[in-house]
Amino acid sequence: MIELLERQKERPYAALTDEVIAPLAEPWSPLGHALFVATAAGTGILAAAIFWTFFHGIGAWGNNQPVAWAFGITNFVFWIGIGHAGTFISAFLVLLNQSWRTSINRLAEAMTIFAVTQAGLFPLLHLGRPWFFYWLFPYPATMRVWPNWKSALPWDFAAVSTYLTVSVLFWYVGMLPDLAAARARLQGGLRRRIYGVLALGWKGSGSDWRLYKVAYVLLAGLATPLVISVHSVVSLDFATGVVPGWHSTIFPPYFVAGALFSGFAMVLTLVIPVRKVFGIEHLITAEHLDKLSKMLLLTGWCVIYSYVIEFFLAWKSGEPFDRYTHFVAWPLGPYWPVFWFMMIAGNVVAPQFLWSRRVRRSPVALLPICLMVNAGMWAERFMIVAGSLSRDFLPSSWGEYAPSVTDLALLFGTFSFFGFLFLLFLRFVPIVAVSELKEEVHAPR
Amino acid sequence: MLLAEFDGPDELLHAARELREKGYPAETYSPFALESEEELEAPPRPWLPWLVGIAFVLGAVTAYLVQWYVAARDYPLDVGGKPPHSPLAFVPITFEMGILAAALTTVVGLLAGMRLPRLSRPEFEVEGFEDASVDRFFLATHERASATLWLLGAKRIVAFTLLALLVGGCDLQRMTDQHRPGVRTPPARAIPTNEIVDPRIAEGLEGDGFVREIPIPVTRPLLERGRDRFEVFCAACHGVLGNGDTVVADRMALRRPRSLLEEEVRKEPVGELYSAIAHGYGLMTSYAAQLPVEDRWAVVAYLRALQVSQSVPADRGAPR
Amino acid sequence: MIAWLVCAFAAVALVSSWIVDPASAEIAYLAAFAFVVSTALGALTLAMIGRLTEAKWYMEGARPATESIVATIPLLAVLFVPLALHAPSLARSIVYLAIWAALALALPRWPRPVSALGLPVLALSLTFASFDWFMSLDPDFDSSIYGVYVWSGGFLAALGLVVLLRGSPVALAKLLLTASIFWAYIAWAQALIIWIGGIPRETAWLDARGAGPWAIVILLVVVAKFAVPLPLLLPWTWKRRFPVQAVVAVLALLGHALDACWLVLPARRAPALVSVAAFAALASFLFASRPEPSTEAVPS
Repeated sequence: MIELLERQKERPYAALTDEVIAPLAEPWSPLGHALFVATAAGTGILAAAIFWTFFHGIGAWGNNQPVAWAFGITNFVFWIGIGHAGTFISAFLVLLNQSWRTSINRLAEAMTIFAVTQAGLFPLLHLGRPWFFYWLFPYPATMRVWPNWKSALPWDFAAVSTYLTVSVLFWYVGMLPDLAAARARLQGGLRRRIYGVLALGWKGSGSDWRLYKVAYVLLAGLATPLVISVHSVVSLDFATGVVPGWHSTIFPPYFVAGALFSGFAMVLTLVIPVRKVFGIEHLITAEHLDKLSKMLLLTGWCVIYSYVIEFFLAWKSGEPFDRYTHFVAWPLGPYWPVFWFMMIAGNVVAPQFLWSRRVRRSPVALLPICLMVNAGMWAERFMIVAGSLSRDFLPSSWGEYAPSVTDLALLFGTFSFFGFLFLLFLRFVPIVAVSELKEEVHAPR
Repeated sequence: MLLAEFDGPDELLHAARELREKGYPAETYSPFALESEEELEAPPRPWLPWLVGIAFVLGAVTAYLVQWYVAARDYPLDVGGKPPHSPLAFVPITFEMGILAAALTTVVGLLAGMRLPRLSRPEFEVEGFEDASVDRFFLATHERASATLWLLGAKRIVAFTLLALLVGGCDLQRMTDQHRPGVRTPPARAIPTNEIVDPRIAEGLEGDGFVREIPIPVTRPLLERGRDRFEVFCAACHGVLGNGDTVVADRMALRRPRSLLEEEVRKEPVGELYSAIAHGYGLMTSYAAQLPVEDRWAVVAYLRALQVSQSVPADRGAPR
Repeated sequence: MIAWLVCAFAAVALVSSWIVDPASAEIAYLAAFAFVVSTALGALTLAMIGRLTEAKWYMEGARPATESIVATIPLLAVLFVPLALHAPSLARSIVYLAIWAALALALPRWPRPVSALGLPVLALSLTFASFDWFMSLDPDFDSSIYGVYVWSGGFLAALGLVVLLRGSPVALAKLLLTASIFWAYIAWAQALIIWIGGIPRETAWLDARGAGPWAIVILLVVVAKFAVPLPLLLPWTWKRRFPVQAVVAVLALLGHALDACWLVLPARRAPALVSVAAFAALASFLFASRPEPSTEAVPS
């Protein structure tokens, strides 16, 4: 899948290692510095917004009745969804023996961890009294009250914390051989020592590799159903309720498909500039872009299928509330621009360009499509949350939501924080799974 | 214990297979996973998946029981008219906790199985071994396999001196009887010595035959050392003067330890003498374990000196 | 040959029960029809996936068996005839059957375009057909995941059938395991959301299917389709042994037949024996009319 450069063909293993490890020792380029400063500043804004939220409570947000969930939950679902594609690439494609994953899985897993980090902020923040978050955990309390297991929110807590833990473990275990390579290749005392400690003394013996492969496949086999379960649980945040537009049995697979859809778009959005800036277009080739685009197309169609069924059944059921939500409130109500953007641009039209092979292999064409998809998927989450809540059963209770400055600062801040973490990753971690690449070079599947 | 370096993965795999067929233990070190044909056909069944499966079940069952106890026994609440024990609703947390337990067990099991973290080990003292994670390929095996290793195309061999052996701590015999792939790493007291690049020094071999000159510098201290080692290990059978006049020889009438002063022995190239020490000769066992490479050449040098000294006619005095 | 005999026997039993109690016979026939339709279309899905990915385990392994099942899809139109009178919309039913026949016939000729474009078409048509034919039995009830549920059960049963016909490379066993887990996930999601929402027009459907014997039936379905296959197919060595795969395959088929009963029969209350006759008749008809699996090389 990868193409070795001419100069790499003579000593491929050393050349590949150096290509990926060497940047860890080099100082940052001016572009890197600028981005780092910018994202750090954005993260500062995030910190300020968080502090403001803690200090003033949810009144600092635009939430109200009936729209008690708005940006907070939208952002949560958006970020968690993005994370899923990373795990899918890392884990599920291992089980399917898809060798094209090796060039991008490290990057995709990193994306997952940073995305889940952003997502995890919101359940904490949206609690009115966040210092009581530990009440979600079943410890014997003096008040003798326990968490309510019939609510999707404790399920969320279990699912997201498990997901973050397993993702980090999977990422780290996958990195051990490459950390050992960094330990071997990097000069300089402190850097070498840090990578050495992180590598845990990895020696690469045959018996170690055998056990390692078993453990890796096990983790992949565990992570795959985990991905499905986490976003299903997130969808149950809505589907277990009776709000029209929320209570629909297809939500779990629909949300998983949507998560993969937006996640693949984000992977492409990250991969396209990174391969250019780091000069690794021969490791992440047009073939990889093609495969990712096909996944994007497939999951996009799963989302379209879900839309069709939802709208059809809303009409066919004759239920007045369902009909109103789907055919009046969403397309013609207070958030109609968001709805039409999501429907037309983001999720229905944009992915159709991917039927073309040329488009699939062209980074220039893919980038705007992926950005549209991501924006469209954020819009979809917003429509589901605010669009439904603002127009539910009782007309006298209807009300709109507008984001406050804090809301916007939090959204913007999470993108900055995500970028900041991702830049750190690019700076300090081998961005391609070099040991797996070497295996491919030796014995291509 | 020897650490041999090979040019590439295929050479390494080939060497490992050959060594194992000959009954030597062989552990490979490579920057990526290597699968030999035997492994592909009949992979050894690992223990880890079973452990992980058990962990999943335990985690899931525990989570379910906690939910049941809390909701149905300790403080049942009427939530939405649903019964206190609601299996359908208990599924998510049960599943997640099962996965969490299984994943943690996988990682802990992996690290335990690899005996990590262990930041320093004797192999890392060998120059270039760290690059086993980059682009170099190593193989660890028993010392006796050194000749085979050269034949299999090893670029370089490094020997570990097992101090433990001399102190009697490690049973070398048992180690070499293990025919399983994978070899125990040397005990912590093992130190690598003698970076032996050269078959002339390591085996006394040169081209098709034995070396004719001692390949390391012959100095006074070397000869002293040689005399010391000769008198400890060789004199019992071959005599202090090397003439085979010993109690041991008297008792072994059928095949005596020979006199080392004979014409035949004098005519042997030093490499052959070295080989006798390293690999044994006839009824004589190998003294490779007791005598590291430098010591063996020391003994050979001393033996040559002994041969010269015992052949000088009495009327030839010391040179002026 | 045996299949034709079974078919004839069962058809006689079916016709006689139709004369005695047409309503029960019809609903039993509908349940059997649900079983064969979903299984056949599950095979079509497998064929499309295999052709689109050109996976080795398919092109060199499961293809003849799978596509011989696919070849029987046009006959579904014939089997539909007794149901035509009471179908919610004859026009739409004809459209569905025509689409499926077209896909089945076109697949061997133009595999890649038919697979790529056919998958969404198949998904939508199967979903609407299951709404029309099965979900409409309870007019007040709607479940957006219903189509996925029917499809996932059918896919699992189809995999089981292919395994029994062909014996299986490891890939099929893994797919069987995945399909089993996927079905269980869909079943659980549907049941949980309906139950926890507590909306009467939805829970009535679930309640009818949780009452008395039907509770036992769905329990058996879960055991056959998921609880037993999961531990059997997980261990590395077990999933590679044909006897294990065969047991799972048989359970999958039986489980899916029971599942089809569970979906359809509670709407009208039908006795069991009639259903057995109906299932035997339809299944054996299609099985017998399978063309000989072609083992010639596929021109690429």
